[in-house]
Amino acid sequence: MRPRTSGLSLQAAVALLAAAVLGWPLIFRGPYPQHIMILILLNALLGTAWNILGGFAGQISLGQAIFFGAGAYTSTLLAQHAEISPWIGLVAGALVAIVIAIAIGGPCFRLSGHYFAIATIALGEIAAIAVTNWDYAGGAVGLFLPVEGTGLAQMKFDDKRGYHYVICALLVLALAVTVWLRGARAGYYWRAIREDQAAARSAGVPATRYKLLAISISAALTAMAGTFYAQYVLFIDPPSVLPLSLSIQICLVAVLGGAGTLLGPLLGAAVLVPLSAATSVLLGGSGRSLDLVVYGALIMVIAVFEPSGLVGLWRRISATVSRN
Amino acid sequence: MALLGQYAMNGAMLGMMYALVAVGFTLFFGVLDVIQFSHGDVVAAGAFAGLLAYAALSFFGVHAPGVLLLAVILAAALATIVVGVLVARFLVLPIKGAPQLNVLLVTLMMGTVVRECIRLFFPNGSQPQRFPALLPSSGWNLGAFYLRFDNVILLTCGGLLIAATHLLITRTRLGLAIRAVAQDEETARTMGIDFKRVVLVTFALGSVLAAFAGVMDGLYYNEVFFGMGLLLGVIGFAAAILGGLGNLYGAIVGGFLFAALQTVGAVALPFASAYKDVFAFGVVIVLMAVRPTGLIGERVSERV
Repeated sequence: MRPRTSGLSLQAAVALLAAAVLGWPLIFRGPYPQHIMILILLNALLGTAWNILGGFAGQISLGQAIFFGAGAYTSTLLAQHAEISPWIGLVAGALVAIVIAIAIGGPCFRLSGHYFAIATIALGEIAAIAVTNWDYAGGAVGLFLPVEGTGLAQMKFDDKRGYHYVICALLVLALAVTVWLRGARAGYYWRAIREDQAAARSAGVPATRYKLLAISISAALTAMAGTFYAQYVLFIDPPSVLPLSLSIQICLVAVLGGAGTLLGPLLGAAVLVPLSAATSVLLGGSGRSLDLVVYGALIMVIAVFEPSGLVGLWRRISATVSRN
Repeated sequence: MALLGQYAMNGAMLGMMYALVAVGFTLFFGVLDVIQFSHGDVVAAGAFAGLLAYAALSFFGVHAPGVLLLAVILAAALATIVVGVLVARFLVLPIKGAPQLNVLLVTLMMGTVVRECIRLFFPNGSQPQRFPALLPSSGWNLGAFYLRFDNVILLTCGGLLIAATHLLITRTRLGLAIRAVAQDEETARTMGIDFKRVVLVTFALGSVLAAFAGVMDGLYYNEVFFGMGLLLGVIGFAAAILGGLGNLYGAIVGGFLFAALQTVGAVALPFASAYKDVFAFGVVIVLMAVRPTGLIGERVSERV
């Protein structure tokens, strides 16, 4: 294994980073930097959720938007038709996502590698088409969230600080789940399945059951992010919560950061979100937005030259620094 | 009855397009074990390059449909070859040893770049573009069913193209080299086969098929759209998987099967035709779960 940074300095770095993130909206008062930080945390949450399924259990999902949309739509429909609090909607959305995840995992976990990935792409397209034609859920028009006052109970806030701390809490939850499961039996089973499923099976690992566990947890966390997104933007429609591009973005955050590592998705989100924002600020606007072209090209460059992700790059640099 | 004939014709046209795209996927997977996910957008690039050639020739006063059609096809083929070979040379080959997921993501992003470039740099590219009707629009009246010449020509050309690909793969030295690389890269190298060249030629070959699929799409619908490649790519890949990746016949069968499923979904099932893709993809997933190696069977690579 590579030499690791000593435990103490790593803890110090993490504590410093956490303090910076928590203090961010107090230091930066403008809505734009606050918005960017919320997007970073949201993407970090989505990447962390993907990482449980894709990084640790090795099942590449390109359909995470299904779960994101399940969370967004469940909580919004409950709020609209039964005036149910988004906090209950958050849990309900997670439960709906778990049910969908198990329904997907049942047949699709018989497939491996890119076959599983393509199945999730196809399912994502199915979900988008189905919701677009589902009038009760707003169809192609989308849904506006009913706003009855703001405050923590409504999960809606007058300024971005409230949203910042809610998404921080959700991210901490996701990281805690990851740390806990990584060291538990499930984590070892997942890694065994990822490395060689047949060998894991023959060693007595109930592979299908543990893959279903991974997709359920991943789906539940992703759905929570979806509920949060709905409260933040106050409008949802299929192109915003169910597109293939969202599923790809989630996967990119984790893979470019470093799949299968705890901090990889955070690193990926911290690099990709500002990159995307910078390209759209510098090159977007005036109708001829080159931003997606440059963004896509940069991602290709990173992936071609650093296949193990930014965590790998960071480890190499820190190893070089500590040697000198 | 006439309606049934119409649906069958539409299904056959779609099936031919899907088969052409799927054969590309299957060829790339055969030689390099990768999924080239920008392949659908290569199709769109071909269609738009053809449109550009048409506009340029019309501008210079060329109006003979035959010449125009030839120019459209040549321009489309040239554009797709350039894009396909560049993707292979600079994106896929350098990360051959990396996890498959990286290739998937890199080519997905390449697809985004191609798509956005069409949207930005083609005049008024964000709007659907009219594709000229270059084939005779007359046809035969077979009872109540009107058989259009242009559909027959397109189907025939597509079939010939696939047959030519088949002959190339099975009867020529180049095809032998492609099959050798697909079967075992190491051994093929030791037998003196230029691996890189074979890969690039295979990508060029698959991309030419994509060019024809793009032109066919334009001529059939009389309209092309910068985002047309996204769904076409996903469907083409689903078709290739349905038949068994790496298997040429499987890709063809898969393409027509997918079109048949869509047609059945649109016509025979009791819900809105908007759900035809839901139905088709649903069946694909069930079939994949039942037969994970495809209907005809995936090429089995023998590794020590």
